[in-house]
Amino acid sequence: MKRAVVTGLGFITSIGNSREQVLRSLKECRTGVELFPEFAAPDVPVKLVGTVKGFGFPTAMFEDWTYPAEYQLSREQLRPMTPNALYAYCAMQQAIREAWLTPDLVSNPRTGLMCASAGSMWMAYENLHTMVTRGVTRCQPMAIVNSIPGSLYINLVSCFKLKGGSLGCSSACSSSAHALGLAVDLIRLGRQDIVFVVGAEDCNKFSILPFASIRALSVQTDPEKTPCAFDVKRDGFVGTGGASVLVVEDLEHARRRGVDIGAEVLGWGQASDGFNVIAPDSSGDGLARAMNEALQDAKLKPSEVDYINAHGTSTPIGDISECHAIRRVFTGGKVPFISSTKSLTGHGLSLAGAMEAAFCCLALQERFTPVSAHITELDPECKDLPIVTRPIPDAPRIALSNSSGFGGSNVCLVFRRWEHGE
Amino acid sequence: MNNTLSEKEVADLKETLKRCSPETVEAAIRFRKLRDPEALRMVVYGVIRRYQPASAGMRLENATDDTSLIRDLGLDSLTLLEIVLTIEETLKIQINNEELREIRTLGSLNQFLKNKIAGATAVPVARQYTREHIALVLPQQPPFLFLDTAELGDETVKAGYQVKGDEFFLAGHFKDEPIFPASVLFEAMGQAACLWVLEKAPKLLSKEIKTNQIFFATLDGAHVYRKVRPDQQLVFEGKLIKLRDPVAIFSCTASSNGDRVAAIDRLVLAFGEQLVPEEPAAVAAPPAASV
Repeated sequence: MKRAVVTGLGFITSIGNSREQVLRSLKECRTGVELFPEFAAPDVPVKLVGTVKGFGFPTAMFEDWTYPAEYQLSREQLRPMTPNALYAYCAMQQAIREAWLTPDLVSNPRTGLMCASAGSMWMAYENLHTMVTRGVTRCQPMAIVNSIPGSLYINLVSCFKLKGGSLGCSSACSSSAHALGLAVDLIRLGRQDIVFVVGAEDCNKFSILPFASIRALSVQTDPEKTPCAFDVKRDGFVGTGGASVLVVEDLEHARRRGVDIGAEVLGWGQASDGFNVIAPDSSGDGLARAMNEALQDAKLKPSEVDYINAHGTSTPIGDISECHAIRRVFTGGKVPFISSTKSLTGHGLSLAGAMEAAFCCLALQERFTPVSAHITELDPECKDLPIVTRPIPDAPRIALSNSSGFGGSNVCLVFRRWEHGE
Repeated sequence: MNNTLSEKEVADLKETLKRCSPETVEAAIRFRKLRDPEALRMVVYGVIRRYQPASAGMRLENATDDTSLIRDLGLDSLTLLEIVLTIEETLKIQINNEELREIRTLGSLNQFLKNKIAGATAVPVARQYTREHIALVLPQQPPFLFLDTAELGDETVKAGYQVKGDEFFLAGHFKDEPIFPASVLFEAMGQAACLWVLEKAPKLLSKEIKTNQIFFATLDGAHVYRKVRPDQQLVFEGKLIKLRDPVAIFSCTASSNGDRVAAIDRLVLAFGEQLVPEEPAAVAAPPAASV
């Protein structure tokens, strides 16, 4: 079986719009969360968002949108986009550059795309509002392609003239972790040489506030204290958006090109809770099975794992369930270091899996263990686990990235540090 | 007609025409108040200008009625839809799918809107055909199909063909000097006439005409005026002189870039079981067309 490695990363995230910015934020524990002007109204109970900087979406009309000057899009490229597709376009450009992909390698039958976004609830709302209030024929021509979850792959395939397999994954907050898992399978089976893995999500009241009704969002207002996964004071997640891209490539293909390898994806696993539409199974059974599947796929013993990038959304029940899952897998001896980078970024929903997978690659390559921010008092129910509350000198060699979505959809990805001269 | 527009209507109009020039908004207000046809034209041009990509080969200032919205002005089909939606909203009209398909040139768009505004019974614009569509109608097929586009009127046909240079016969016509053959020019005019007959005649004659029943019967007064070389764009125009079962008689011209290239005073197509009608003389000869 072929081996899958990561040869390029791209970031448009609340903690930075480049590899360098993201790395610095992770190492220095800089939060991407701030008070969100859109939530300022007194009737909005939620105030914090992991905001995406450098982009503006004052109206649903793409011609009003602003984005960093280093990216150039034609009117035809921008017209069918959602905010998340625009984020993804920019992150793709970074990943293509980092992986030294020439245009003929990007647009190639052997290069595919596995991506995930929830579509654009905002654009869908605007489009349907126009249709309902002003008439069917006033609905704008792009109303479908800039609304549906498929809009991300639709836009990227046409912008980058991708020719391999393309797919939009939809499993709520584990969507882009699924996308990465599927990409790894495509590489290992020899069906593609390169697969772009993209997670992207809008960042506005339409993508975030619907979670307020299930009381899943934090109502805190101090971004230096919240979100705080595993802390006793955690009261819900903080939403974010943006995009992350990983270039997953066949090892031999990457070697022939002579490109730097960031990390190897050793395997992945998935399992469902079979429990409830929203609540996770508090026993952690589903996520534990996903982790075991992943370790088996990677041919690793639990004791070989150094670090877990937890799903860790900072909801009271979610974090406890994940701790139970981790205890189920790591039964004897060493338990890996655990942190939630969502405490810095916010929860990126469909974006989260790819974003945190990319963070794992950074942690392995740059040899640091990300800290779980804003913990002043660990929840007694998490206390027995090695949660990283302050910087430690340890550099992980093997990292897991957990993702769990609504409906109890669990994915675990396994990464290995790529040693120099390997 | 002198309607007044409410403040809200004016505000809606400005919102619809956001990013159009102030002159376009003024023209739209004038049109909505006075139905001024000159204002209509300004609205159409203003809306197209707002959507036209900077990369387009031709600017609107240089456009003519024959300017193709897609090929010349660089508008893709989705941009065309945006333009149509904006025009619909500005003028408060509806353009249905059937009508939309026929709008290919600036001239056809202007004509269509003029008709549409003039009254509910809009005169349909000439039917437009693409090469693919033509190939579905005609018995002639590539590599022996010499029409890329066609437009059928009640008694007219106008077709276009771009001489690509890789036509199979140019290799031998002539040695080291590819010249589009006169015989093929006449054939192309015949194909244009053929398209008219197959599409229009059955309805007029209440008779089915099969594609294998139609033949080139007579060609009178055939002239060639200029050599045609690769890369030239040819325009064939045919005018029906007479249609009577089983013949259709046309006069035809071919031109390139406005210059006359070839003409046929009298081109007779026969459709029926016999190749040549028994009594072609029974058809009244038209006055010789002056060329």
